Amino acid sequence: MPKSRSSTKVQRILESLPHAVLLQNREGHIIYANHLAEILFGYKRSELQNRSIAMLIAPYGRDTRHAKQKLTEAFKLHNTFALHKNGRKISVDIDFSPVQNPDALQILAIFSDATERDKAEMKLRQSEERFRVTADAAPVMIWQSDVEKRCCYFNKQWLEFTGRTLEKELGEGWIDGVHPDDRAECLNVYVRAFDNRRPFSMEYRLRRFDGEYRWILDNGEALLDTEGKFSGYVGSCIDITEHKAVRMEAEVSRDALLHSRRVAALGELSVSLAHELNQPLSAILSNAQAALRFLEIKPDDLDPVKDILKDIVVDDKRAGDVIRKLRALLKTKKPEREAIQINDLIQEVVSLFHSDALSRQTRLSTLLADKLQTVFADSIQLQQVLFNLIANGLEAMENNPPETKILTIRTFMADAFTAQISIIDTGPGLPEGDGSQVFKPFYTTKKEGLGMGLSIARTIVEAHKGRLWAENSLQGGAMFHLSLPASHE
Amino acid sequence: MNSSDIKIFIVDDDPSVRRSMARLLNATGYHVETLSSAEDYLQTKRSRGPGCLVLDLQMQGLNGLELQKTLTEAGREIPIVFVSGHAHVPESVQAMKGGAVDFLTKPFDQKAFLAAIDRAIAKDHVTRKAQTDQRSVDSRLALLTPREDEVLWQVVKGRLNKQIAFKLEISEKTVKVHRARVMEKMRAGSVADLVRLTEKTNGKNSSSEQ
Repeated sequence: MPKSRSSTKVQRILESLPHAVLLQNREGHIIYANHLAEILFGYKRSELQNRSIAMLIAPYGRDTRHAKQKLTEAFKLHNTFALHKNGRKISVDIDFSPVQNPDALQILAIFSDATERDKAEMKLRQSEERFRVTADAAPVMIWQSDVEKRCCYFNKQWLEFTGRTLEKELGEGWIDGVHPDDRAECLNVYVRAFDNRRPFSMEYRLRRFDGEYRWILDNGEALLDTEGKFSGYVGSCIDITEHKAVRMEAEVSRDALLHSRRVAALGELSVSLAHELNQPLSAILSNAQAALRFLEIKPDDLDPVKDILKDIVVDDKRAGDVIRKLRALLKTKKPEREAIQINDLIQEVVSLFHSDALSRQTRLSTLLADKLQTVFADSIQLQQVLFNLIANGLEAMENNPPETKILTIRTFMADAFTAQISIIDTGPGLPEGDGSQVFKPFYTTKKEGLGMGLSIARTIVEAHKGRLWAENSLQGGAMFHLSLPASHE
Repeated sequence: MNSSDIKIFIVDDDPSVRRSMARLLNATGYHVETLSSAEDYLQTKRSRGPGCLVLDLQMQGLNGLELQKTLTEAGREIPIVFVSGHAHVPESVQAMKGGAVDFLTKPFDQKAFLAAIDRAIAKDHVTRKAQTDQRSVDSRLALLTPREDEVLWQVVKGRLNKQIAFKLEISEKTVKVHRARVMEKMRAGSVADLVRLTEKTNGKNSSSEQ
């Protein structure tokens, strides 16, 4: 009996399916139900006999036309509800397919329980909803992007700020609002952070609804879904235009203050600086007059005159050098950071103090490390710090006997990543001993001091991510240490 | 004066400045010796001929003023022309009080420089002449016997023979003899000559007079 054997085999397959299965004949009566169907609907197989599939779908009789005998091709009825015997609705997906039986057309219905999936979907929807409600209520602009870097969400504040619709902002539409000058950098930061899944923080100008470009601080970070999978980026933005204006004003006034300090310090040194210039000028004048005399005495002997001219050239360069250094120190340029050889910088500053040290009968001793890494810094600001520290050191030793007037400037690598400069005097040392007092604004031990020098110096050093501190040496003088991160170039 | 006999020392720690001044003086016909520090100058032998010192004020080690002081204390008199990178008023006053011939601020014109050098050398001539004269007076004084010496100081004070005889408790005739010997030994033609010759020595022997 091949038929019965094959039908038993089919039945076994149907029983083993992880879905509820019903078979309905062309008269609309269920003629087969598997065990899971019994569990899903709460009816015994016998009870299911003679009922129709349509009666088991909520609302009662819904879409019965699909479950009718005329079904000739498969169709899906997803996100619908099955009706339990006790009246409870069960979320299911139903797949109908016609079964061509030799006797007649039958309908096979496979019910997949969708309760768990629905729960997950619900949860996601709820969390998304919560996110959106929160995002809209937040006093900041929020955006979200997908794994392809395309923006897929902007909150109410963003849309109100730009005055554009969500549709216009989506994808890469938001870029239209970024100031043309900031666009490249903005995208660059975003893409680089995105590719490395790293957080970013950037400032750019964004067009407001009224057409005015405002400075925006945008902080973004990678977004992970509940399973820890990367699902894009989320960012929050605030308008920092006013804040930035205040900051810029502060920067300008700080620069101006730094400059005026520099000019004042140079003023104090001007006598010595005049000496630096007068030396070469004197040599040039005497040499030139000597040359004229030589030519008068022996017009044919040009050798001494040649030597003289060589010396004149050297001295002229020497004078020019002093002027160049002075000009560099007096310049008001925007702070610019570059890789700097600390030793060179120290030599330059020290050379400006040459005469001052002489007239103070003080020895300037430099112990500069051979292998000193460069630092990334603004050379003028750093020069000013050194200028200040050296001037202080020289002044501190004013009442020392001449043989003990020694200012030592050392450079070395404090560790593999840190270059250090130490300026050591043999004066009376720091008044408080702990060395922190001297960095406070308006602290001074001088009659005519403003008390801003060291405070400004520390501000500069800290702006370079460095450290400036002071302590007393064992010999009793003061030591000022300045450490700066080495640049990796 | 023959400038080739004259030697000028230049002490300045700036090699270029040193060289330029040396050239200017060489071109004028002077002998020049340059030194880079005050300490080096102190090591040099005193030159026998006339000359002067061109001295930088600011130098490593002993500075110009300190060298001036050291030389004065050591009795090494040499006219000094100070040169300085700038006009320090207190230092220039101190230098001039210490007997400096001039104080020039760099850069200086050759006219001022050479004029100062000329003045310094003239001063050295005067000093040296006076020193030579004094040395000769000293050697003549050394020839006198103690009694002649006593008579000399009485004579230059304008005392008459009679007064001297009374004071020294000797006869007037003996005074006359001593007096003649003094005039001879001192190579003085008159009392006025004698007064001039002993002018500088006066203080030294005044203790013998009461």
